[in-house]
Amino acid sequence: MCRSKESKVSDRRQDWTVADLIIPVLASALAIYYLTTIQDIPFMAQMYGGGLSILLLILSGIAILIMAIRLLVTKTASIRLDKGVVRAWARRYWRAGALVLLIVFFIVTVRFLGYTVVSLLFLSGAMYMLGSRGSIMRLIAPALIVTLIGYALFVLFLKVPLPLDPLSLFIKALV
Amino acid sequence: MDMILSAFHQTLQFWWLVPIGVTVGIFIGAIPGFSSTNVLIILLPLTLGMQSGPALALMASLYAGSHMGGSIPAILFNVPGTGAAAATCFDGYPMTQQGKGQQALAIAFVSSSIGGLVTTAITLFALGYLSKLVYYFGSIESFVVILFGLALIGQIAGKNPLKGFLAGIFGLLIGGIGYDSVYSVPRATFGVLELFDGVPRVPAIIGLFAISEALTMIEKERIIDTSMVKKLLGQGWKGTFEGIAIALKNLVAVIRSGLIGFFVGIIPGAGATIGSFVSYQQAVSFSRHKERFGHGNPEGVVASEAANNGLTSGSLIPLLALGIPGGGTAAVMLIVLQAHGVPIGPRLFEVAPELAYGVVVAMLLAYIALMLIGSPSVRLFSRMSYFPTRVLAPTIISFTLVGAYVARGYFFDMWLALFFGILGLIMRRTGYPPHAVLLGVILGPLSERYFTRAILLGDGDLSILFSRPLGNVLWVLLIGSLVVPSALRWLRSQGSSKNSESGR
Repeated sequence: MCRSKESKVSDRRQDWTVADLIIPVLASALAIYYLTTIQDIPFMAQMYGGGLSILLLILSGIAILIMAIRLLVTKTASIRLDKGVVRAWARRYWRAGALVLLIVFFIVTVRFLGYTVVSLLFLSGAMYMLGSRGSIMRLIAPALIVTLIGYALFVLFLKVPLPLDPLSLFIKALV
Repeated sequence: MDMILSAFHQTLQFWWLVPIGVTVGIFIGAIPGFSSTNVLIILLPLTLGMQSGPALALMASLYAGSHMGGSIPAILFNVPGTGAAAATCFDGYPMTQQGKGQQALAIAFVSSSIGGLVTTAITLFALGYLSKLVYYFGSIESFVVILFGLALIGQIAGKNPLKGFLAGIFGLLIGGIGYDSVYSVPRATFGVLELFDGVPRVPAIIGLFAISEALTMIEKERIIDTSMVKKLLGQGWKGTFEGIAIALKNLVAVIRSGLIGFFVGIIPGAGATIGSFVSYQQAVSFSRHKERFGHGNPEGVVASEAANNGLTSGSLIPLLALGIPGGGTAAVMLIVLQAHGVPIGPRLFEVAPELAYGVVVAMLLAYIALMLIGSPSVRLFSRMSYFPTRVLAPTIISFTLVGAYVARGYFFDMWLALFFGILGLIMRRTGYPPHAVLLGVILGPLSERYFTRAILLGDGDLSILFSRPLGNVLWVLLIGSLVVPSALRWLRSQGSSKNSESGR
């Protein structure tokens, strides 16, 4: 009996964490910003978006209130940001974080270096970071194959106007 | 009848174009960000150089193939190739994670083919009558149809209604960013020029599904348990046959979903995404096992796939009968017809009826080809999900970033895809359903457009929404579809509890 009570409490803890407030906070920020931008437009054009913004603020308010009650009254949620928590968090998400940085690299450099070069660098970097090991050929080969498939598909067949490096432009001209 | 037979005779002369169109359509549809419209535009110089009959047959086949192709990455990687396949992810991807990817793909191919075949046959015989339906669909009716799709937010919310509704309304508000469709006033654009046309749906889909999925899948070695991969490699065609059997067992659901898609397709501008969401919502509402949806229920794949292919022939009706293109693909077809000097609208049936019926016949052949080409290839496609995530995740990201860029040619859309990817990851980790946001982003602009137009017609009076006969029928159906299943479930539970009490 006691165990089931404990597990219920821990379930409730798992149900809501402070991180759960990220979305309500983002949503409220958008709703408030949205409301400020529709002030000067005709009422009929305000109805839909304005109504949604108010509804979103109410729902976000409820979510924030629930969290406050859990933190202060029922003590079924807690804010802990000690070394252990940060370490556990970093251990879990470092790969995702590194992959996001590689995506940023892809988007920033593709217009200067061209699709093929950036795709090759991105793919080999990401595959290495995610655990592909062995000889350089073993790492580069899959990245090269995927890049060539992408080049043939997007540039040659589907005529996507992607920025290209001089070598790709030469191949394209030959084909 | 003679006209239909003559259309068959004519179309069969260039039957070989149909499998080519279907195959190319499947492959292109499978690339996230590329739709049938993109393919038709790329092939426009080719089709303009052909005679109008073969050109339209090729286009119809590409259209049918691309709708099916979109479901392949949706099922295998949780990455919908087209917006219409987004609802397929809900149950298709969990099936793959359970090692039933081959089964799910077979279900998708068979449901798509049968759903498409049935509705194309209806179009062929009732084209004249069905075209009149288009006249009855105004802003009010279209708004209510979109509400059918939005009702899915309530069902996605499931376990945690607050998080579900919050996510759905957040999505609707994101969909409200950009120019107001009636007054052309920019709203919440953050001063970014690229957002003045609104938040584009392709980067949103790619971010919320593909990028956030790639960021999540790297926590595991493979999508499927490594121990299961060896077993699956040895299963041969078993999964395919099981999938076909499941689809045939759910034949009534396939036909029902196909018809839902078909009627949504008739509404100009509604599009396949709404069709598949409405059909999925109806399947969840009327299922006895509501709780199984979203966890790998084959009925979910059936509902979404049969609907988005049932819709293809429906969307041709406004084009053929009235000259109104119902969507992007139909608009490209209109260009080809015009380039060949073919009269559009009601005169098409007087001047070149064989052409109007020929398109539908080509689509009928395309669905037969789809079944013959698609089902045997399921085994091969399903093997893609066995790759390790260290190869799969970067590949998905590099392909989908290009997909995000393609639609408008803005690098900004790649950033948008990344933003939605991170948003999707946070949502997954904190229990907010990303599907609900996507539903809002896709259906939000449409629901706003129809709502505002209806309100303008009523001069600000909300009662206009209940002033049209067809609209009122749709309201009753909407409320009925939400209330009746719950009432039936309650009655059933009351009955079973009484029985168990009397048994004691």
